[in-house]
Amino acid sequence: MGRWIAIGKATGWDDFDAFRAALHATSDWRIDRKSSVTSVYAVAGGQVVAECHAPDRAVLEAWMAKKGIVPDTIHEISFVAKTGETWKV
Amino acid sequence: MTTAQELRDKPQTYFENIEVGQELPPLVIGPLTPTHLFRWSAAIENWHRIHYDQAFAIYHEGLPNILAQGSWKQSILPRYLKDLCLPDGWAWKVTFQHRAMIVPGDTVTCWSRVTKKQEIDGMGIVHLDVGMRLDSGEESCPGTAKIVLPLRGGRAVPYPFEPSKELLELTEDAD
Repeated sequence: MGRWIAIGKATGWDDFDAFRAALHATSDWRIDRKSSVTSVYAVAGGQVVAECHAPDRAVLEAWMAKKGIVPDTIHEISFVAKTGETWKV
Repeated sequence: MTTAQELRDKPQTYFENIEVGQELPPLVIGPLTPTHLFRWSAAIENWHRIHYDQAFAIYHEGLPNILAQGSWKQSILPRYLKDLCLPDGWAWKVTFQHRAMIVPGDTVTCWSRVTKKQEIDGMGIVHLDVGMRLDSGEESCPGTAKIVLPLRGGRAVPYPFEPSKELLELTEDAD
């Protein structure tokens, strides 16, 4: 299973209601049985950072296209640290 | 959501009320939240981290999120059947498979469809296909069940229901 971080730009996601509407429902983040978008951050300037777990990077690219996110870069994740717990992924 | 009072006031479904092929009323639960899952883990003291620790579930186990417990599903389907039978019927048997994972955000619909009816010894034996369908349309728990319903004006279903050997044979449960 691959883990990916994407950085891109999404028009309108500087408005919380629009952000919520785009991501709240299960079908918005659970792409299929093997693929989930686990975190999305909207940051200054309309930039978006999204984390995705999927067998293939193309799954994330397709999800971003569906959501109207224009990708700048997509990186494969190697290690994660969350509040002191570290994971090799 | 069904309240206790609604269950107390529920009118009896009689054997004569249902037909083969009929879909019985569903039970809809959800959307599930991490709190629902954690409360179940706490209640039954199931401390496997895949049920409450999202980072562990995702990064260590490679799962899409924390997962609803199998024992939760095993409690919900019998509850659904019990509620269908109230006040005087008996949810006799249910068997099902654990298939699609259930995660926070999912809404679960317990469903049942009548596949066969048998009137035996003054009671109504109803065979069902059952399951728990996700809002994505995926079937999480396909299975079968048998419930016992009273006949209108007939004798009460014994409490507890203890099937005779003859009844077991007639309902293909002799094994």
